[in-house]
Amino acid sequence: MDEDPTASSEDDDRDGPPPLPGWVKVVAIVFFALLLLIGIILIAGHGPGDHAALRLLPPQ
Amino acid sequence: MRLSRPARKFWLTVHLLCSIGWVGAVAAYLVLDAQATVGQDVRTLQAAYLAMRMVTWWAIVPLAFASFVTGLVLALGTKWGLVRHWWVVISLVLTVFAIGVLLVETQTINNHAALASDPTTTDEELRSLPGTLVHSIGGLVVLLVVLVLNMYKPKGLTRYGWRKQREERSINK
Repeated sequence: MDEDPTASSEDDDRDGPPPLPGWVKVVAIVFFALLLLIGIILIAGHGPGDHAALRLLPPQ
Repeated sequence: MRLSRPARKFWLTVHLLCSIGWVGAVAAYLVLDAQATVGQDVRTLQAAYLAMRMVTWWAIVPLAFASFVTGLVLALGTKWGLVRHWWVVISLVLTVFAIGVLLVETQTINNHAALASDPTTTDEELRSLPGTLVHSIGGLVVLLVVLVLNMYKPKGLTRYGWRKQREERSINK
């Protein structure tokens, strides 16, 4: 936010509201996919969040 | 209300300091978390959990809130606005999400640190504590995405931003 947005953009002369940019859709899909994956891992209890599962050595 | 140029520079400096500091503090936490997750030595586990609590409360939480507040000031005090551009909206949502998860995680961290400092806790109890590595990695990824969005500022007006832009143009004409 070090400078104000430029006055001109591809959205300038549209008659209707601009469509949702493709990168926003990609970010949203990736975010929810990762959220779902992490949720499944945590609920299953077998992911990196499971302390015991990541033991490199057997407990002494 | 628009910020003057010197004020904008000041808030931007504070915002960058807090945001980058937040990422750095999470990276430091991640190292401790990884050590606590794979470590076997009980004294190392105790030290890691106690250090994780200190890093969380003395660095991550204050920097997260400072970054959020300075980001709001910059968004509302410049023409970028809070909901005019998609990159600002997504940065805001991800930051709020990261702070929410962080606040929930502080309970887990407090609990682990309390057990680590309790002399009655057995070694096995300490070794079997659930890790927070998923949250640490997820948090760092979210912060890096926000950082990239803030640096590249990809184009894309929201409906509100587009409407406000048209209103301002019609006033200027």
